[in-house]
Amino acid sequence: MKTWYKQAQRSARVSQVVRSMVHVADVAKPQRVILLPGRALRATASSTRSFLQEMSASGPSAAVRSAGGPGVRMKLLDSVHEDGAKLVEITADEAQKLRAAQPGLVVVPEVFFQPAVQTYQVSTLVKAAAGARAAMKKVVVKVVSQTGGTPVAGAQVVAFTNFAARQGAGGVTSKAGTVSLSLPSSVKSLQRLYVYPENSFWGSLQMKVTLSPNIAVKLTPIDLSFKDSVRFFAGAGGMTDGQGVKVAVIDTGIALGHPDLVVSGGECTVPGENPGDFGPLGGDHGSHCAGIIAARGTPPTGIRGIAPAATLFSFRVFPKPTRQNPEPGASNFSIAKAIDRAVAAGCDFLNLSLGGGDPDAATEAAIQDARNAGAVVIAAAGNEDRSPVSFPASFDLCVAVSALGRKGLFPKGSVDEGDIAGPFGKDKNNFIASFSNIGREIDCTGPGVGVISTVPEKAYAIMSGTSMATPAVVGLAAKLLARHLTLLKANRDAARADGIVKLVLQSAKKLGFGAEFEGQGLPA
Amino acid sequence: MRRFILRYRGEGARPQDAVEKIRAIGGAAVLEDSDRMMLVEAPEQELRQALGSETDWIIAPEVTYEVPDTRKKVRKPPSKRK
Repeated sequence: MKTWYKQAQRSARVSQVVRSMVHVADVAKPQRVILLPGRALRATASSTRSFLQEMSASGPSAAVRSAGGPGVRMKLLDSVHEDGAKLVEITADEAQKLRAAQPGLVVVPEVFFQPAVQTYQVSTLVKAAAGARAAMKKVVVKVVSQTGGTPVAGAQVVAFTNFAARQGAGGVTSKAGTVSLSLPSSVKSLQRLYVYPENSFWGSLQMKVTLSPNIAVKLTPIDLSFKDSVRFFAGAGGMTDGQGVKVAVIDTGIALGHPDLVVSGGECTVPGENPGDFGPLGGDHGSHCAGIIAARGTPPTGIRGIAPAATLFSFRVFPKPTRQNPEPGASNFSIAKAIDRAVAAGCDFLNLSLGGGDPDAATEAAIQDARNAGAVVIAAAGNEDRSPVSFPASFDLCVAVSALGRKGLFPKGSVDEGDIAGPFGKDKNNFIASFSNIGREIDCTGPGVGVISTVPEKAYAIMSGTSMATPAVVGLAAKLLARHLTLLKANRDAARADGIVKLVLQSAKKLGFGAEFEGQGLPA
Repeated sequence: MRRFILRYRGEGARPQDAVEKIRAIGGAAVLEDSDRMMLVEAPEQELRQALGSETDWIIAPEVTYEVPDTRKKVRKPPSKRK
């Protein structure tokens, strides 16, 4: 067997790590990559097989063109078999175009393994400056509504004395809307003061706050008719948008009694918990995602999602918090089982607004099985401030989504102002959020800054994240698929899933950020 | 003892003899069992030995993911030096 293919087989397992290392490589410089037909030696999906055969027969450009894709520049260097893996030279930008045209292909950089050499790094703890313990002072932050001045309880207050070092103090407001922070007497001002309400208000960000014993923060109530980033970039859906499309939200559970949400089914896949408990027992996050996709309300009394007629399923993978474990994580077992169950329920799109850590074989296998059964997993790139795309979004068979924002789509002084960062798009008001992860695995972008959506207790909240951008893309994808009945009703196999990904990515419009930030751009 | 996910990737229903091999591992506990997967608490080496000849099974350690959040967090108390 060819040596580069043997390397590819090994590097397919470590490709996420390798790709993380090379994601900031010069995008204009061609790199040698291996095109794998899924995880097998030979193609199984007919569209992938035809594409690879055409590549061998007529060359790469002709193959992409005959598959209906845009012109992709790459050089074919070697091939395992006429319908097997190919070694090509291609730039990062062109590779993304290829992924959009042939979503069934796995693109793995060619890597060369070196002997593992242990290195040592200096890791010295620096002792605090000698001297007497400085005196502390109390600062009371009072959080009230801008309209009427009523106290806001349960708001998280985060006061940074040094934002870059994340030094500071924090707490949660009482029923009186107050929280007492303990700060050194030497501190005269705060670099940043964040206030995150539970719901019903926009968060607040104040810069350069001069310290006094009492600080007042006024929060802006949410107006449900406000045009936020989802409504600006994706538009509120018509009541029939997404009809016939089934969507699974694999998350903290969806608020079953919310007036804007209709949940048609689901399951809790957390080991040891009741499978029938697929409501929001794991937190608010899943309800917020669900509302972005398919909320059916009408402003100003409710909100409207992007594809309100899509059928929503709730798969709860985050456990119920307990006193011993107040923030429990979702296990890969729960997630893989939820993916299986969502596919069995006939879902077309699986929303995964979660991730992190190393690639995991169980989750990858479940995602691959979902693709082979005609379903598409759309996953959040992660919120680690321009870090490499997190797993599972980094997995080739996921559609990875970055978070897009726009100046002016949140009130002045809201926390969302802190998410503005370059590069800016062709329209200078557009930006990829400062928290969004980026890299060559990004397939597309979606609105994810200052998003109004549904949360439990019949309430509404603002959230930001690639977690919000992902359901926005799922909503757009559902709307699109509902209009392509042949594809919607096609046999549920890998070719159907590839066709759906192709449809979504080829609908996307670039906004001028560059491929690492936006992939193919914003789906239409 | 660590928890592992066993996922069957072969065609058709998972083979019962492989499942019996896992259940027969001393000290192993099957915590959850779904169509294609099992969540098992067992010594890793014995688990891998039991499924050594079964190429259609994936063994992956259980890992967890936190609820994503973009809220800024304090990592350190404020410095007392100004």
